Parts: sequence; structure tokens; C-alpha cells
Amino acid sequence: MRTTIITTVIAITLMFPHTSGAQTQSDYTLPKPVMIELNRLDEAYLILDQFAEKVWTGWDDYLNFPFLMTFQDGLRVLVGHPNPPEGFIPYPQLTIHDLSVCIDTSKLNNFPVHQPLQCGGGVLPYGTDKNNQPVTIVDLNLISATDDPAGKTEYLDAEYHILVFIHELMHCYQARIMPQMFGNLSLNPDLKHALYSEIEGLALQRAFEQDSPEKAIPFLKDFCVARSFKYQGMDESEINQARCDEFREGEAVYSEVTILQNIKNGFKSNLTAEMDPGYQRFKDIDRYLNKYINRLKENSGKTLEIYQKNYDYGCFEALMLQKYFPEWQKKIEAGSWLDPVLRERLEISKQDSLLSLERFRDNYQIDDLKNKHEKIINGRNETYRSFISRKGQVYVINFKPIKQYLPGLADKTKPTYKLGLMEMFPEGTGPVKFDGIVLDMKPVPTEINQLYYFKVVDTNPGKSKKNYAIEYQSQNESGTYTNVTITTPLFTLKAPKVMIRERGNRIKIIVLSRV
Amino acid sequence: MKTSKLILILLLSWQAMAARDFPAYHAVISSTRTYMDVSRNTQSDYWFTKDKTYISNGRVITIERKDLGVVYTLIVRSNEYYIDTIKPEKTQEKTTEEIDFRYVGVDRMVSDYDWVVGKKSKNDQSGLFKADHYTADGDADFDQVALEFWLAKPGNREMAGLFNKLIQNSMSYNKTRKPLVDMLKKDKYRVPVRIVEMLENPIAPPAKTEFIVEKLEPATAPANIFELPAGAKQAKK
Repeated sequence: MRTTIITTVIAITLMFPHTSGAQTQSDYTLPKPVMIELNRLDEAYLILDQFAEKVWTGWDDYLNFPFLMTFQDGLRVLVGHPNPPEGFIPYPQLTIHDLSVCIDTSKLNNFPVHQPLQCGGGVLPYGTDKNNQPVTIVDLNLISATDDPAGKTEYLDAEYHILVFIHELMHCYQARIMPQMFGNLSLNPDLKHALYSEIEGLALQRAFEQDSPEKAIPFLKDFCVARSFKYQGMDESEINQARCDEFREGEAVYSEVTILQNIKNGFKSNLTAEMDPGYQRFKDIDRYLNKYINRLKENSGKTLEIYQKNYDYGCFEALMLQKYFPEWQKKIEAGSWLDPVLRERLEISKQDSLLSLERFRDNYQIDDLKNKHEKIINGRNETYRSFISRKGQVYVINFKPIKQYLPGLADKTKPTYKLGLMEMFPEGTGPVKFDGIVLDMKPVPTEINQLYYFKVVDTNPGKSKKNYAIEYQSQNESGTYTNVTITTPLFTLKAPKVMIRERGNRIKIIVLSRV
Repeated sequence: MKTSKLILILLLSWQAMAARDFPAYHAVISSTRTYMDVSRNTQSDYWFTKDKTYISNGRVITIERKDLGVVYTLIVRSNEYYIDTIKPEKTQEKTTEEIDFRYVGVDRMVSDYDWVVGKKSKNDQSGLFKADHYTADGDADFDQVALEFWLAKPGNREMAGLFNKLIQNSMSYNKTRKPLVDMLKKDKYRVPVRIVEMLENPIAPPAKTEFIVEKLEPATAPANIFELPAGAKQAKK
């Protein structure tokens, strides 16, 4: 009898795996992949202890901004929050750089989290402090590395994650640097914008590659003259937004480069190979440093890109200012922006401007650049017109609940045009597969919009009432389907868990789980 | 009393009353916005007559003077103001416009929703006035909104009509409130006493906004409420 009871108790315990349900702090141990990321954060703090002042005089508040890391198994880890919101319980057995750690295990699932992970996010308000004031945090999502056809595996490096943490902490500090801030520029490039933007990028590259101010300054003047043409046709608020965006992202990238330049001369590290087998202590530091100029070269010619260039152009403007006009940071703190400071220090004359115009023709081949950009701008506009003319049955697949960014998943050989938050694929995106999701798309015009949504329009819908077929394992009272295959005339979707919302001629498929 | 003296007294009283902008109406709206686990509360004070409006949320004061054709926007902290002319109301005309590609797809909040609107109950007593309770479910490609609003019909028609117009003006730009604005346009003497909006954003986390009309009544406006405060300076644009 006693043996039967003990056996039964053991059997019941084994039926309920460790990872499901609410956990008390004593039950749950942070797994190694999560500890690796937390140790990388500790390393970032240690690097900032050594070099923050070299980036910006007075940068000393990086421990005041909590980090929230969210993993695909539902685990959330909060570091350094003064008043953790409901749902978080203390994890007293660990501190990160003397900062407290709290965890939320209330939504754990069976997703297997393992390194390497991709890391991304931003700065947001989250919760309040004990005086009921909002707390600014760095909010990060860590997701499994998917197959990356572009081969950009550097984003998985430990070093890259450390630089991301530093980048985001610089964003937090920027609220103290900038006397005023403006909202993000909401603008798509026209021909003039794209053309002079590429000349700006080329001028910055060439300035950076020179080894003396006499050789660099003509290119910096070219940059400023091109900038003035680019800003024609933009109103004052748009120019302020553009300059603020460029400083915000560019200076955060500048902080990465400055840190790397200082690390090159030696630094103290606490992160051992045993703690993080992927961490090489920035051994191949030139590979990291070269990435920035390579990215500037790659992005300068991208016709349809505005925001992404802020990272590169802002960084290199800051590097040039630091090299040739080192008092620039005081001007920024007094309310100026990168290119006005540069223009002021260069003292560009009318003669300089005329010379730059000649150089645009002779050294930058402006006519060839104009033809290139015109073709792409016209292609984009025609594609948009064709997309909005498509009427019929609308299908939207929503990946927001699982926070899956879609643009990186499309087949990069497929033609695409970007317009605002839309990416238009006139020949479709190709198939998409990750975790437990398989999306087999036909080669039809497909839109990725607002980061998380696929949208396609069947212009020839059938006459039947239901424009999709569904097979599923189970359905609950709230209408959630599990282990589902949805077949439409334009795609087939397999997913672990979805909801379907129908309204008018729109069918929305909301993907609720990766596994 | 001599007739001339009586006329003078009446004239002076009339002027004094006019200077107090009577009849005037007073409304107080408290609003709460909850986003990312933080709730922000604001209380807004409204004073209005047929041709003047004063709205303050403690940080910004807006004074509309239809009699002068201007709107003042005053930043309380700096006591600086901006001045704009009142633009004529646009008539709803469908025109074919050339697409300005510089701005296509950049605005996150221009969804046109497909709405399902229903009346949940009549004569709900929970607010300032007895009201009809409506629900509206809005669905767009990349976002959705759940709206609830309570509409009442106060006895004072002038007050109701003016307040109705104020709310229409403040909410007509926002597509998430379209069913409410449509109902206010349809019956110009109905006013909202409570609004609850739950917005599932395309990218950002959900946001909940709630408005409650705490007060709506005729009142004597404070002296000079519809004038810029002493010392206010015009700001450079």
C-alpha cells in the first residue's frame, strides 16, 4: 500500500514537467542560454565603467536603466528595476553588476531556448518607480537564430550583443544630452532625396579614408553641400526630425565605434570562456571596426532607404567631428545637430559650393546616379499603384503575438520596394519557414507591413462563402485552433496555434505560438 | 429713480454680465491612458459659450475665439503662446488627388476600420446623466479597436449642442472614434458621458484610454477666462 502511494505520487510529479505553470523563486533556475545573455550584460557594464567617459564626457548613468529580456519560452528577466511591476518575483541568488534581478515565469512554454540567439529591441517606459514616475527601460527580445541567407551571422556574436546593450544605453543617456528632441521623420525618399543622399554617403566614405584634414575637408564640404540640396523641399519640422533621428541613431553607433577603438588598446573583462563559450573578448576587433565603413558603403546607394542611413551617416559625421573639430559635443549639448556643427566649422563659402557642384559631376558621376535612382523610384511608385488597385478577398497573417519580424524572412532574391512601413514584393516573398511555422506562398504580389504582417489579395475569389479550408487538431471555446493547416488559393499556412477573425472581405489569421 | 439713471444701471449691469460671458458652460473631463503597465491621469477643464472656448489640461491651454477668428495655444510652463487663424470647416468632397509618395505608408494610425456597432443597454445610470451604452468593434488590416461609449441627452439643449460640437471637433481626426463621432453628428444634442477605448496597435503594445465627464453644467465663467493670461508672450514658430 505504502509503495503504491509513493509510486503514485512520483508518477503524478513526473506528469507535470518542470517548465510549465507558475514557479516560485526557489523552484526555478535560470537556464544557461539565459545566463549567457545576463553575463554579457554584466560585461557591457564593465566595459562602460572603463570607457563611457571616452564616448561622451559625463556619461555615468548607464546603471539607472533597467533591462527587460524576453525569451521565446515565455521567460522574462528584469534587471535593475526599482519597482518591478506585477508578475515579477525576485531572483535573489543573482545580481548583475550589483543590480537586482527579477523573473516572470507565469507564461512559460515548452519552446527550447538555446544559443545562438538574435537580440533586438529598444527603449520604452515600463512600470513606475516608488514615486510613481515612469521608468525608462531597455526592452529586448531574444529569439532563435534562423537560417540567414545573407550570411550575417555576426549578429549572433556575443560581442555584437554587448555592443547592442551599449547602443541602447546610449539612447537612454541621450535624453540628457539633447536639450530638445523631435519625433521620427516620417518621409519616403523622392528622386532628389535619394540622389543627394548617395552623394552624402560617398563624400563621408572618402573623407573617412583620408589621412589628413587637408585631404578630408573638401569631401566634408561636398557632404554639406549635398545635404543642403537634400533638405530642399523638406519643411522645418521635417529637417529637425531628420537631424534628431540622425543624431539619435548615429551617435549611438558612434558610441559602439569609440568603445571598440578603446578596447583595441586593451580592456578588463570578467567574462570567461566557461561562462560564455561564444565570447572571444573582441579578439578580431578589426573585423568589428571594419563592419561600420562596410555598412556605410553598402547603404549609401540604397535608393529607398532613409532611416537606416541615420545609423551610418550620423556615426561617421560624429567620427569626423571628433577627429577634426573635437569641441563638437558641447555644441550638441547647446542644442545644435551634427551637420550644422560640421557646416559651421567648415565655413563653406559660395566658391566652395560651386566647386562641390563641379565635383558632383566629375568625381561623383551625378548623372549616372540620377538615372539609377530614377529607375528605382519609378518602379516603387508603379508597384504601389498596382498594389492598391488589387481588390478582392484580403488575407492578413498576423505574427505580432509571437513578435516575429517578417522582413528578414523573405527570399532576398525577390524584387522588393519599400514605402513607409510597407515592403512590396510584386513577385511574392517565397516560402517562409521558422520554428513550427511553414508558410507556403504562391508567387503573387505580397505585402509585408508594419513589421509583423503579411497581406495578400485574391483578386479572383471563388463564389463559395468560405475562402479558406482549415484542418486542425483541436479548437477551444475562445476559437483558438491548434496544430492547424489553413489552405487558401494564395498560400498554405501550418502553425501550432492560431485564431481567425473575419470581417467583410478580410480574413485575419493571428498566429499565437511558434511551437 | 430717474429713468436715465435706471437705464444707466441696466446698461452697466448688462456690460458686467457680458464681460462674464454668461451664459457659459463648464465641463470637467478626467482621462486615463494605460500603456505598458503605466496609467497616466489627466483632468481637463472646459469653459465654453457660443463663440468662445477655453480648454486646459494643466500643461496646455487652448482658447478659441470665433468672434476674433483666432485660436491661442498657450504653454503653461513657459507662458508662451502660438496664434492660429480659425480655418473654415472643410466640406466632405471626394476629389481625386495625385499621390504624394513622400508620405505614403508612413503614418501608423490611418487605418479605416470596418465597424460593428451595437447598443448594449438603455438608460444606464452609472454616469453623470442617464445614458445609452454602445459598443463598437473596429477591425482594420493591421490593428483593431474595441470602443464603448455612453451617450446622454441633457435637458439644456444649448449646452448639449455646444458640448457635442466640442467633442466632435476634438475627436473627428481620430478614426478609432468614428462610430461615436458619427452618432454625435446624427443627433446634435447627445453628448458622451464616458468613453472607453482599447486599441490593439499594429506594432506597439495595446493602449487603453478612458474618458469620464465628471461635470457638465451652466456656470458663471471666471473673469477673463477667454483672454490670454497677463504676461503671456507670443512664441516664435
